Amino acid sequence: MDELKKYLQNHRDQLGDDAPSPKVWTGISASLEPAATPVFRIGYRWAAAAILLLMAGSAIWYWNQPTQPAQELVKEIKQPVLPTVTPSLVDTIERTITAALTKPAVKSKNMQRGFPAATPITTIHTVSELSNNDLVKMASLESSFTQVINLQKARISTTPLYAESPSYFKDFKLQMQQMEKDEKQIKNFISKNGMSDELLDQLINVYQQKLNMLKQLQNEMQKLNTRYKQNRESVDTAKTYFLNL
Amino acid sequence: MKGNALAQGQLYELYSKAMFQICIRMTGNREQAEDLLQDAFIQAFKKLDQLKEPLQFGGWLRRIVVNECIRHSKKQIRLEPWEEHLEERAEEEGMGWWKTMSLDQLHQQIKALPDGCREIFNLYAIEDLSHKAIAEQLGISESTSKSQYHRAKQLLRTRINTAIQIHG
Repeated sequence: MDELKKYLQNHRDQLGDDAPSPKVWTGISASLEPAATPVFRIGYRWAAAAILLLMAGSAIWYWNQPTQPAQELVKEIKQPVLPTVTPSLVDTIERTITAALTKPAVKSKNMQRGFPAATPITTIHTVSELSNNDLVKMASLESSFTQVINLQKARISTTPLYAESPSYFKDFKLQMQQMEKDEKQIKNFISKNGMSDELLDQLINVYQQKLNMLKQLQNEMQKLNTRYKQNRESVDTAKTYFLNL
Repeated sequence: MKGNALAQGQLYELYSKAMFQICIRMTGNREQAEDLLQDAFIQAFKKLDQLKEPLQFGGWLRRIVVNECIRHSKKQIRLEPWEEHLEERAEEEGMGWWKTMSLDQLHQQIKALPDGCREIFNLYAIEDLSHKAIAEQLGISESTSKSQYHRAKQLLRTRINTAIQIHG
């Protein structure tokens, strides 16, 4: 062994006194947060809220379809129109969560029938009869989160990647698939057994986890691209690719 | 211990600084060193169940950190061609020139070595990898690893001598 190597080996632990910045630990702990695992507990108190959520979701979806005759019919019979819930996505989500967690929904005959009937008029009737703040806020929970998630997904899928390969992001994809499974499971459970505080928490938790994960993925992509650009003079367009989530 | 945020925090407190020295010496760049440190710790905490002997955590973590640094270096390693002269090798050993400055100053000079030879110098002299292992891991020839190591040593010697002449 040469003398310099011997000297450095003997003093290896005394070399340098640099300390990492606190953001390193913040990044580590954020990456290690456990993904939401649904815990199923049967709760009947919120059964009405579960059905309301599903009915209102279907009604709002139908309401947004660009079918002219159906909209005219709705105007003719002067059904109360559902309020537009788009002041700010974040506000809506927060208010929805608060309302959903604090106010039990009113039970009605329509709610016990499950999904609304297929005809447009019946759908609008059903929703309008049940129209109250809780209903709208709970319905907007799903659509608001979905909008934000889809927006984030769109940003990711349109960001070009210059480094690594699609397989590098395999873990992210698997996590996303797992969360989608969790979400589906919770929704199925809610539709069969009704809503409970815990289930509502779980659903919100899964949405939040999805958003967190997508944000992390975006950060990782930006980090890779920045590192690549720092170390290379130009981008190799032949190797550029896009992630398909 | 896996999943226990408190335990992970304690392990990070204990080892992060030492591991950061490896990363910063290998990259010569604070930002990249922090990224590597973060990736290495995440990897270690995720694979913690693979560690059979808890007392060996330090060594096990060090290997993860070094491997992470090698993975990073391999992607961007660019070696300047360097022609070695045998008589220079003999001179390198003379007088123990590396003892003429503090360990901290020596560390600064190692960090400032050019890309390529800096990584090889660190892996060979500090992380104690053989030239054969370095060659395999970085995808270079064994002779390149050796010559780049001697290039790094020569540069260090020249720079240290210059620093001493300037600052006394």
